[in-house]
Amino acid sequence: MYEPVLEIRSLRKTFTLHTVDGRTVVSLRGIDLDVSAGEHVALAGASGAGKSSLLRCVHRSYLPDAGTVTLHTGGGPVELTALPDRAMARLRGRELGYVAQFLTTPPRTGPLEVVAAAGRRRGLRGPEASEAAAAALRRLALDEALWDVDCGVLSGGERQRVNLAAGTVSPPRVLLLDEPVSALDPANRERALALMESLTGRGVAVLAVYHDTAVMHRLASRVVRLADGLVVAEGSPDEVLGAVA
Amino acid sequence: MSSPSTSSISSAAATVGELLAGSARPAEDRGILDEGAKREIRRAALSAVCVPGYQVPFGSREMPVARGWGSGGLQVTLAVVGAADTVKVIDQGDDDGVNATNLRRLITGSVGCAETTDSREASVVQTRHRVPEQPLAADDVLVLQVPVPEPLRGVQKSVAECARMHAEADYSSIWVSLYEDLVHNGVISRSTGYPVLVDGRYVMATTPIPRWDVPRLHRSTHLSLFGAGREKRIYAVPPYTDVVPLTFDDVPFEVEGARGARCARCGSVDTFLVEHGSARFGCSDTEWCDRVRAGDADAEAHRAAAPLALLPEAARRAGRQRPPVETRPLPPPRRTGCADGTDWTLKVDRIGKVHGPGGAAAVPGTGPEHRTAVSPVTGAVVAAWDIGFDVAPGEALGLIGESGSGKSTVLRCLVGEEAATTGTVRLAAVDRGRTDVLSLTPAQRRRLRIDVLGFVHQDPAAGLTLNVTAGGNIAERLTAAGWRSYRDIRARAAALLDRVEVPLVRMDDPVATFSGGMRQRVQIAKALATDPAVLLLDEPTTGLDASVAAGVLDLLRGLLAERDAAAVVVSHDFGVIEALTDRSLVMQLGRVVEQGLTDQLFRDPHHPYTQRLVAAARR
Amino acid sequence: MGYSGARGGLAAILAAEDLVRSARDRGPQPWAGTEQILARFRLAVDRVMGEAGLYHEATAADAFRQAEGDPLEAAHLVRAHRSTLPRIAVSEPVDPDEMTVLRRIVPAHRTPDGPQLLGRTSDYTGRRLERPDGPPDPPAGGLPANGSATPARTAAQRHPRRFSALLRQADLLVDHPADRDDEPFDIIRRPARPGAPRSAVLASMARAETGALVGLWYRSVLGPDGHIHEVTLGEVRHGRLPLRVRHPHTDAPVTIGEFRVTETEAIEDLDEADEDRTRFDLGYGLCLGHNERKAIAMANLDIACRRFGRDGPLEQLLLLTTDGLDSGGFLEHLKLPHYVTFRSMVERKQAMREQREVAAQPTEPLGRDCR
Repeated sequence: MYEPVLEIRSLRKTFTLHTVDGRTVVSLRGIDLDVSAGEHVALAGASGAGKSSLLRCVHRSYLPDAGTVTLHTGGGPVELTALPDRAMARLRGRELGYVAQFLTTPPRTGPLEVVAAAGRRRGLRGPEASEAAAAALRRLALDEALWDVDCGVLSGGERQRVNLAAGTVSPPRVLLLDEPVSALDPANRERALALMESLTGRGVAVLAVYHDTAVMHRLASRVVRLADGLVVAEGSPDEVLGAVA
Repeated sequence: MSSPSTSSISSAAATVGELLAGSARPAEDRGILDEGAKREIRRAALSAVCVPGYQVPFGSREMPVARGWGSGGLQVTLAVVGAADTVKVIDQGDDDGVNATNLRRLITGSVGCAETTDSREASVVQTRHRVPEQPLAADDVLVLQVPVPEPLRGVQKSVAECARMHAEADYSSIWVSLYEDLVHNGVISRSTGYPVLVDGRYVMATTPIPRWDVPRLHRSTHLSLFGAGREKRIYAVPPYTDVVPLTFDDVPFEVEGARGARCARCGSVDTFLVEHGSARFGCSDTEWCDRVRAGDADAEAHRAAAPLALLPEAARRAGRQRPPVETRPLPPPRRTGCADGTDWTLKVDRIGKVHGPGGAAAVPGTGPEHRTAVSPVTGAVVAAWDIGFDVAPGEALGLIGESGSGKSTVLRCLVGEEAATTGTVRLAAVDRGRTDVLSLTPAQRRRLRIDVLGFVHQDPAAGLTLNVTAGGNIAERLTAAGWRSYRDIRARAAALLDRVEVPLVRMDDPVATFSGGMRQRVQIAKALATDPAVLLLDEPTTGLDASVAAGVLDLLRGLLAERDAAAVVVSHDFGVIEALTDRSLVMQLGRVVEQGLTDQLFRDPHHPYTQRLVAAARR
Repeated sequence: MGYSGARGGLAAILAAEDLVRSARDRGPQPWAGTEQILARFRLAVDRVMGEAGLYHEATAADAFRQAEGDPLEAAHLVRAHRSTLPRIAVSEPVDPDEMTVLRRIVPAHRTPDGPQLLGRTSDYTGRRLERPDGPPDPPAGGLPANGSATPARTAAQRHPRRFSALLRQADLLVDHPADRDDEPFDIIRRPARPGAPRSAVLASMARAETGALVGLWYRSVLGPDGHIHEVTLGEVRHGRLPLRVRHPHTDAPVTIGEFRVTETEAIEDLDEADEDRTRFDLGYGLCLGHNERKAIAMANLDIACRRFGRDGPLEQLLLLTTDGLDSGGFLEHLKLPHYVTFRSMVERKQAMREQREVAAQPTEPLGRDCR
């Protein structure tokens, strides 16, 4: 069964740095990539190869110069690069999640509220959202005593777990993960990986960047290697990364 | 007018005529007011009868008495009496007061009409500070001398502004003054000249008659004419007109009363009593007092009509009611959609503002590509040009740019603080978006500021009345929107202040005593008071310390999501825009140079100007 | 039937009146006749005419005598007298350039067109109190035929060209083409309120109490809330103008008399951002009789009001607070009985006190703290 949820075609991105003598930096030179429901695609490649840029172009944090990004939603295909801003902003909450390396919520909101708010954006009702948020935080073993403490005072690892819980609660159709477990200790990292593993079974299409090949081996159903803004290899983790030593 | 010709004072010790005959002064038989002037005054009085409670300007003439000594009442009386009338004149309820005596001889001397002290015989009663205890007959005229005709003077010193407030029935400031009075004093402390709403339309000053007399103007059988000579105004309460003292629905209007007080002369307890000797009271209406003593008064009917039910009773008062400990959360707002089925709340099209000559002709040669906002053609400043956007419920749109980029101009044009040179603004709440609100009259647009457009200024002082309490500032917006229950206003104000995290112990403190951050929270609460569909924020955190600003920002972010308002946030600070908005417009030299999702503008700015702004924000 | 209590009020009032009359009119000193007052108290009579807004010297002089020399009281008498009179005609507009000047100075120029004509003034006389035992001796050789020691002036000297005409010629004055206000606002028939045309402000000032106007001017210069700067005077004139009305039958203008006025033009330095700072503007003052203080204050306040009146309090101050009868009357009304209103106030004080006692429980902190 091949059912692409996300179709990326000829995606290009070049930055023009007007503040630095107008020079241009080419980031993506024409990416073609599909991600299907229940598929977990990891992006590999050296630093500067374009992995994060690709995630952000899909999320529209970067505006691509050319190419298309098509998201197949319940209401039919939507081409994201040409979507009006307001529609894109609404679609982000419901259909397209992005979990960055660092939590960017207001410092004075508590973890439970941050996660519940994400749930509400994805259509959960008030009490439902709170229950789902509690379940997500519990699953990631965030100390319940911290649930209503301002996120601003949490440690890096705690914040990353809140972030992950927010990204995965009532998960969207497509989830973009950018180094989501970089700050976690081994035990918490294991819980987080288990959570992410479970997403596949729930039909979520995941496009992720990990710095750790072991994580890719464990989670990815497919690995796509980028180099200098182009796809240079694609296949199973073993095929692309080499078998685990 | 009725014309009983007998003068009841003929039996007095000495009549005016006798006294005058004995003194060496010229006879007082001259007129004191030209007939042409009387005609003007009658015309003004007729206008006043047609528009009850409205102050009609008139060409007030100088009288042989000083301004303030009844020159207005005297002109009205002279204009309405004829030789066949019988006139009674009282001051403080007393026929024998010096001012009453003086005016009586001027009136009778110049008109040749009869005089009386018996209200039942009088066809015209001129009075200062009282309504006679004896009810007047249906065709009688009561003429009241008015020192200060403007009921709003205590809350607004500018007469032009008072005129505007009357014209627009914009009486929130007097309601706020009543609210503040209750907060500070536990009672409404206004003594005489109590403000009333006449015929459901105009707020009117009852000349300083005591509150005791106010209910007696309500649906009275006689005509009351109010003459203010110094201020050149005449107003009227025609017979059977509603006269309702201004007070909250749940705060009883109180007349004067002293427990157990009775007239030391006649024993009445149902008349207006004044101090009479030490620790004693007497009727201020001497005619009534004498008639009660003489058994010549319908005491029973008088008792039935007296405002005894309105005597002060501490138990009934709302008083200094403290805010509820558990404030109820704010109820969810209600929203209207617009006619074309789209979901915007606010839609701005091609707004432009040119300061100086030329209008649209000044635009060529200006803008970012020309690096100037000054027209090379006309020298005018093109502050904003061709700005358009729409905002949906629950959505926040940012306008970012450096100072002078035109973003605040757009906001001021939107609310009507500045007249746009061109463009349209539509609101779903106004005619379901079919009407350009810029085409509305200034009064209609002010009205929008009450319940459709909430505005948060950079400087809290611009959106607040600093000498009014935090609760009173919110009451201003609520009373403007028609709230009339003191308890409901208190509860709503408390809920709002609690929501913006202003400690409720400070609800009754003037906002002048608040810190900058607290003032800004109160301003936000005030802007939200009527749950406006559109919220406009102009540099809402710019004047605040960084830590205070962060708190206000958090608050706003929560509120924007919760209140389902369409918000426009103007700021030069990318941090503020990023924290509050989903989409943004970047403005430079009056034009939009870039727009997009806010995080995209921040992470992937395309225009050189946006890149400079982002670089500055990251430093 | 009927109330016939003591009527001591009227008797007391009449007694007070008689006291005034007998002391004023039947004292041992000679009676001050109207001519006598006109001759000796010219400036007081002029001031009464100006503040009354009615030009008739004999009437003003009689009022001055009756008021025992109180100019405000005299103005009141004149105005109340006018209220008894029908308005039988309205005079024609008069061009101030027709003025036959009796005195004219141009402080802004050393040698203006026409003479600097000092005229009858004590401006340059040392203010030293003179205490003669009786009337001074007539000057040796007797009075000249025209009653004045100065030589006769030519018609041209009596009608000098205005200094402002020179400024206009040099293109140094801003033009106000849109400032038309052709039909003067009649402040007697219509109460003037802010938003009224300039003619209403000018008429109010012309009739204002001199002291109030000078006080307002000084307050605007030195007070904490005023923002006018003192002007340079282009013209201060005192002279005679013709009074014309239309003949009831022929409808032709007929001169029926003369009246004296004081006229001032004040040159204002424009310095606001939205003004033409390369030019001057002109303030104008004109009042009945000889009253230079008033005319100068008026001219300066006129230009200040045109520049700042609508945006600030000045317009309302000029229209509503400078009339002597208004302010004086309102002040004096405080002498009337106020025991009804005071009783009502006392009652509220007691109610407040009672309420305070009811609500005297301490208030505990409520709600959450502000972070």
